[in-house]
Amino acid sequence: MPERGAFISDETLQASMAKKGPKQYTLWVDLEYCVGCSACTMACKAENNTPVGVDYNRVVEIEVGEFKDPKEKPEVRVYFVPMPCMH
Amino acid sequence: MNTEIKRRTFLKISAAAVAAAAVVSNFKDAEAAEWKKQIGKSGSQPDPVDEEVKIVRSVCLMCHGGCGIQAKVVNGELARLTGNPYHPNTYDYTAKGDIVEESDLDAGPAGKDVGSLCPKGQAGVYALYSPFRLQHPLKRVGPRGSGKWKTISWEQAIKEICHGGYLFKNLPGEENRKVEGLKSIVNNNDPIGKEDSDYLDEAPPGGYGPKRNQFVWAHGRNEQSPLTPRFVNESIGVPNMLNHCSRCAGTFYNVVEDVLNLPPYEIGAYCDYEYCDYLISLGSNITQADYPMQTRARYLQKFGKRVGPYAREFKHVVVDPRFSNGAAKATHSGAGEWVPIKPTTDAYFLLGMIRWIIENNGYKKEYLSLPNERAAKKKGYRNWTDMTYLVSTKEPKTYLAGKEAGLGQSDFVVLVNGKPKMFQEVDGSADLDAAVVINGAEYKTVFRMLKERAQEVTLGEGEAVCDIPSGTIARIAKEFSSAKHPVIEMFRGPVQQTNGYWNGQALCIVNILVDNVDRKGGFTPGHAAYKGDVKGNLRKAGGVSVCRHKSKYQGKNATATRPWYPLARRTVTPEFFGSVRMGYPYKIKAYLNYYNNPVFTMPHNATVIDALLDLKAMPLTFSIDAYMGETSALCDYVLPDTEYLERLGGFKTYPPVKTRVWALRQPVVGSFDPKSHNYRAIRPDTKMADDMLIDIAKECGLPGFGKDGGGPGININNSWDYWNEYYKHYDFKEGLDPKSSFVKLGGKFENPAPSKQYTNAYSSGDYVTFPGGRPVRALYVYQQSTALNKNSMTGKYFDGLPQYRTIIDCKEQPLDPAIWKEYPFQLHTWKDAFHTQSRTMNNLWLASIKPQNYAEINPLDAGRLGVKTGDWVKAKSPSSRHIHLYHNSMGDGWYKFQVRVTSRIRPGLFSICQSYARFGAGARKWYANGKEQPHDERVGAGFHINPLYMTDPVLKNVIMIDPVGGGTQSNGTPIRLERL
Repeated sequence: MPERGAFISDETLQASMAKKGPKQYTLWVDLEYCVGCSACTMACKAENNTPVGVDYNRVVEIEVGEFKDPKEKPEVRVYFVPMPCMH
Repeated sequence: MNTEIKRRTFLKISAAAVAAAAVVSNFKDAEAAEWKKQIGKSGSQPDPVDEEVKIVRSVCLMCHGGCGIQAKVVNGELARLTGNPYHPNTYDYTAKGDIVEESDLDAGPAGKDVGSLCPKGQAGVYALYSPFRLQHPLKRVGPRGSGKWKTISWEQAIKEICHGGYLFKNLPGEENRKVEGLKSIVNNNDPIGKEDSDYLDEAPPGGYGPKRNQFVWAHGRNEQSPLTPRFVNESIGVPNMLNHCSRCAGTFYNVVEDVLNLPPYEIGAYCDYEYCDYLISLGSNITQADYPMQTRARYLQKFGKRVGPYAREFKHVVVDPRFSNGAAKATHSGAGEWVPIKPTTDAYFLLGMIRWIIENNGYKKEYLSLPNERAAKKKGYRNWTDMTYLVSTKEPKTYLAGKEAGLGQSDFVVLVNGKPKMFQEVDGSADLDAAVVINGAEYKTVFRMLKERAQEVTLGEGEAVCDIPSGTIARIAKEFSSAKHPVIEMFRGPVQQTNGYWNGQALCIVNILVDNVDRKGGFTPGHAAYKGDVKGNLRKAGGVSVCRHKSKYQGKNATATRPWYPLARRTVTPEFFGSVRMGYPYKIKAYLNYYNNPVFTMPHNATVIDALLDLKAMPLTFSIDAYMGETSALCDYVLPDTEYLERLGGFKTYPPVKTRVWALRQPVVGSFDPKSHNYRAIRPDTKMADDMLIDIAKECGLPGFGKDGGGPGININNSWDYWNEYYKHYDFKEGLDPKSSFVKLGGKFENPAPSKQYTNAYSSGDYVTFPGGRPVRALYVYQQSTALNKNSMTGKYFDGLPQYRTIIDCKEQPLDPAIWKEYPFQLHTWKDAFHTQSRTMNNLWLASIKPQNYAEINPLDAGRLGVKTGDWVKAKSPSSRHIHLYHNSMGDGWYKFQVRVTSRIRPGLFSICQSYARFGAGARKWYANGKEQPHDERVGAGFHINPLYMTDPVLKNVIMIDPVGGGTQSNGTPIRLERL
């Protein structure tokens, strides 16, 4: 289970950017922010003008746990994972 | 037909059409090579140095959230839509101070200040260039619904609609059908008489109004206010401006306006997420739905959970039959929780919370004991409640007035140490939990009545009805009332029910008990937008609307033939379709469908289809639509609207935004004639709806438009004339001057500095200042106006307090319990973040995110039925019947569905996400001039819920409706499921 606060802070980011020498960029996606709305899918689509049916960036929905008994507290989790093409 | 039409290809086609028509347009065709070059360089993002880039700021209308958009237009072509950084919906610029000049932000084509926009908003590019859009006015050349049309000129369309005649004499069966034109209908001021109605006995003393009331307008998504209400209510002058609120959130707004005492149309109440530390979302699909979706999602995720002062302790409880995306986020880090309540049982949860809070002193006693403004001010509060006011225990249960108590002139009486006093005379607290006998009659305080009502059911009994673990209500009520800044918010879930008004009232009361209304971090209602004005010598609407909203039943018989809705501020449109074929309350002659689709969107839509196909009940029907929508497809004429990116107008925003806003909608493409200001869209034979209405008004000789329409010397000949005039008055002054900051910024936005959003002028704690200013005011837990009105079907008074109830029919009777034996499942619905209810599956960018929906069921039910994901089942309700327009209709009321098994749905539900399985707007074949028009199967993929809804057991042909708020029973219909 991801912990609260497990995200990159502005300070860490700035420190990383300030390092000298060649940079290799990484795409950091904070999954706690992601609400699974697919705005990134559309942004990528509009930006690259891909044909209908071709989306480079999709959001995958992962369902964990099973809930069958309303008399018990449900233990279900759903995670949204944006899957960029990394280009 | 290849509908994978890229906007390049499409533009080429339409450019050719423009050239053929010898019309000069201001957009240029781009060569494929140039496009490729551009993609190689920077995608569709224009290069701000090399290319001719124009930025236009306007308002989105992919949903009703009113987000500002920033359009990048390259060589006349729309390349990209992002959020307008000047608009508070789309950019969090609270620290930046005044935003009044363009230079206040770096918002250029490659600027650093970029506004956010949701998937729907970004897909607006496809909407503009959609191959499914209509190109020319259409007249049917077959029976209604035949799908056979011919293109006609605008002149012919306006002439035939306004002047009537034997319009369809070439069609079999309609040879002798003379259609009355709009001009004679809307100018007939004689009173509606027995030739128009078999129900004159049920009319109020003033009658049903003039015969012009036989014109009915129905809109779905109307953001052309105030031009459209001017056309309907003041130019034609009829009360029949039907909206979609009955199916939407009308009851939510209605109950918030009543209980929290707000001016009408100031749009609901939501949490102030940034400073809240305990949020319950009850039937509110936050992060996927509600307005504005992306703004509220961002406020919750960013301000509430990350940077807010209470981010560490913030707890989000999602009470919902479905594990919504909001629930997924609430439980993501283990801090929040999901309470999978059974649909329709909200009253048991809410009144249970009220009971626990009252019995365990979880309420704010000092606050609730304040009887008036003076006492509130003295103790440092901005608002006060009616909790101490005395109410009669005998019907009609009104507040006890000063004169009745023998005290003097006063609307309310309270008790101070057991002695009756006029409320305005009390300086401090009044008795909260009290009762008194005056002249032999018993009176109780509102608080006492509420307590007694809440105590009618035990928490255990309530939890059994809600089907949630025992102890849940007490635990949540305890956490809620001991939090620093608790809020419980709602949207359609609790209110779109037959007990919806009372559910919404109960929810507002839970908030009132903990004194969070108007508070910083509390339940913040209302948004007063900036306003303009257009004057003119206008008509007044009179009489009774076709759906009897805001109308008290005063007929000669004790009860009415069909329900009246005296307390519904918004129209009850399903009831119009349910009663129009019997001519109740009077017959209609013309129906104008504006940006509306009841055939698809109304629960139990079979009734709407029957009505629209009935030539006698609806003799002249025409639709303003950008697509061949399901409803347009059943009309006589369809007039091609422009898309929202080719319109003038404006829109407000919603309560989570605490600064005042009016965003300007302006075309991002197309051109205005420099002299006449007539707009030319990129499809040259389409028109702005505004322009069509003005043309119709002029042809019919109606006031308010045309020469001197806006007052002496002010001609209103087109949309530009109207809005230019509107934006010169009250809060505006420069009209549509392209050099004004209003036009450049895309709206008027209040200084967003945090110091302006809150006030610390009250010693009891901080309040929200409110956009536009909010009067210091009383909140009304008890609804006297409800208690003073009778249910027209029973002749009995409504209850002024929330009640423990689930589904009721129009006579306020519960459903026959035997139904559940045969139909053990409950219908349930929700919405994806990337769709609206009905008008986005024809946007293939959005349709490609999730190519189809499924009927979703819980693993428990899947096991019992013996099905797995991908299997087929059939479903029916007690009143579902065959609709030929649905491919999955099996006849005899059974519909087949493909299921998806998921623990995101609680057991016992048959849950179908809205938006899918369209049969119009390009989903099916249709013909103009004998030629097949663009269509694509993908638009119609998936399954639809509306044929399954159960009708009212008394009225038989219409969805069950809340007798007070007028909302439909959108969840909980009994359903029978069988494996196929």
